[in-house]
Amino acid sequence: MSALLAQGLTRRFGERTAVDGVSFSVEAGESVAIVGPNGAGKTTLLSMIAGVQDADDGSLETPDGGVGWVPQRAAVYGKLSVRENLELFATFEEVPDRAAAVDRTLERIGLTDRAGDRTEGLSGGMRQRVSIGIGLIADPPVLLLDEPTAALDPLQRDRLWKLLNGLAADGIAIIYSSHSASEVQNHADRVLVMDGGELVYDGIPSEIGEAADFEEAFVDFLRASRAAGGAE
Amino acid sequence: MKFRALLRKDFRMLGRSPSLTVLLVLYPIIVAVLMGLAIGRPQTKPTIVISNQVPKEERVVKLGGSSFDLDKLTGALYENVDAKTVDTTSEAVSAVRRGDAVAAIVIPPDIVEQLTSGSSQGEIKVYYDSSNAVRKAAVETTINGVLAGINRELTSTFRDQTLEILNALVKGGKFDGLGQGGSILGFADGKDLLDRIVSSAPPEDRADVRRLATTMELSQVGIGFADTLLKRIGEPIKLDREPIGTISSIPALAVAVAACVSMMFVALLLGAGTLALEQEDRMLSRLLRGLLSRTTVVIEKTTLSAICASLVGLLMLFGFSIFLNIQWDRAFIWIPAVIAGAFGLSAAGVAIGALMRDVRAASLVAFMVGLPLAAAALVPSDSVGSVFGAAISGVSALFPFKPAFDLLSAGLTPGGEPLLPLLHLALLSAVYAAIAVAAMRRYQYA
Repeated sequence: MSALLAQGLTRRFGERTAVDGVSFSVEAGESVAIVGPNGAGKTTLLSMIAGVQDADDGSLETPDGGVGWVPQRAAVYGKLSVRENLELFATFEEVPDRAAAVDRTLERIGLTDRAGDRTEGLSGGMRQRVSIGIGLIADPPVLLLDEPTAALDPLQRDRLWKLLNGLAADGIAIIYSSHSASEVQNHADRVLVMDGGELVYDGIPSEIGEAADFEEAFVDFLRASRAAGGAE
Repeated sequence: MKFRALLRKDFRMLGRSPSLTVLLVLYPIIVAVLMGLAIGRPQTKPTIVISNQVPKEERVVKLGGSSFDLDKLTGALYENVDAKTVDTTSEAVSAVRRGDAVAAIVIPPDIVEQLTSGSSQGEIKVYYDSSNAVRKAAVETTINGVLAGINRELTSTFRDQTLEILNALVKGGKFDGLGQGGSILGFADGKDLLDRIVSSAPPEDRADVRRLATTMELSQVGIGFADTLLKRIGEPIKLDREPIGTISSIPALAVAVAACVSMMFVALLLGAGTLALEQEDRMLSRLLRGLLSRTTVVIEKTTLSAICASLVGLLMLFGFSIFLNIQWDRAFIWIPAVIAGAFGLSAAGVAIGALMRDVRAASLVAFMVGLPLAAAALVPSDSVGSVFGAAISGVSALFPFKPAFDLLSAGLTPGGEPLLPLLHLALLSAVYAAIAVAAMRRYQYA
């Protein structure tokens, strides 16, 4: 059984259709990248799955534990400590044993020793880990991340991917948007390519191109897709 | 549970912003102390230099049977101003030029002569600093008030003297007024005399003698009326003041203004800022995905700002009570009035925050909206013309400052009626909260 099943998800803003009948499923422990040019509908699709906004059409089946949501940029309260941020969202998520959930999450994101530090004093990578921790606090089977590595340096990105790959290995389905072809190539089990609100590809990254020139292959793929659809 | 957690979080974050906390605590204390001192302490008297150039031995002026002391008259000046005495006109003018005094009054040596001549007005010279319009107006008001007192005193003296003369004209006897003197025959005795001699007068003169006697009789009656009229000259119109409505005092209004303006800034800036900060930090996309409702967030931000604004308002009022006579027996009205006003203003602040979406824009708009609307609410609508006044009243009615101010004023004033402004405030609070909830709908799609 799929961890998440989306069927015909559609979202319109006036005359513009931001997401147009997108269908896909994600299995437990799968790492799925959503890629595409700016304005392709990646963030809108993720925010519909997260419940931040409603779909105009289509259906969505989510698992019992719901989905965890990590917005673009580290969304944390800077004046609160790492622990206080997690405790607050454990309360909002109505987690039964909040203290245990906070300790477990701190361990997961590798910030147990920085639990008392205010997040405003942490590095960008650590703040992003706290943001992911907030998404994980209710122990969801699916975690959604909107461009999780944007604005991080290569070392911080590497640490973050170790964390996300570890979560996937624990059975959590990871769905994230990205502009980085190399991240998709290196970390995604599957890639969803979106363009103009439509899902134009759903498959494994290696089918798009060879490892050495993935970026170029991805651009060629998009051009070919648009030419076939009569769009530019 | 979630509401309390969000409120606790916001207070914790506020407490961890030392500069903001210090500002929130110190601001009302400083304003309360400064305004309390300004309103509560006795008014300082303006310094005025007086040069009385009338020789000391000539300062008691005799007018007929009565007299007045020039020093006694100028004594009124000393009661109302901080008077310093100098000898010459140039010293007096120099004191004003140096800024040692706001004005100089020079009483010329010939004023007694002017007053007793009966033909010319006495003239006192006043020099004052005209470079500062506000100061000039204040000095003119002070001096006009003092001179009005002197003139009233002199009018009374002149009236008594005139009555004495008229009395002498009617009854006869010793006449001594306005530089003239002697013993005269009064109209009454004159008529009697003429009545007695009319029979012994030559026949051709008797008619004239009778006409003269009649003239004296009528003059006596006419002067009798003049006596009554003259008694009214000193104060022809007397004011009979009858207040309608509650009697408000300047200190009560000033306290209400100071407290409401301070509360307004705290409520607007905190309400707008804290909500906009949630959006700026992208936390609303986390909170509004089913964890909290928009209504809960709006109520929480309004409550947070209202608590802080209420504390500021109450702290100010307690501070004022050290210097001013605050109506403690009406605390059961003005304490809830402060809280209600804080809620209304906070709801408006939260609506601004919801509409603006980022902290800087929200703070700027809160400031730009709050200040002119508060000023407009304090302008009496009947002082600026009917159309403009109606426009000001209309705009003021749409913003919670006016009802918050009216409510607090009613609380601080004996007999004040708080019900109408309270209802007005409740209505505006609900409207602004609804605007905030509606505006936050956009956040879910951001």
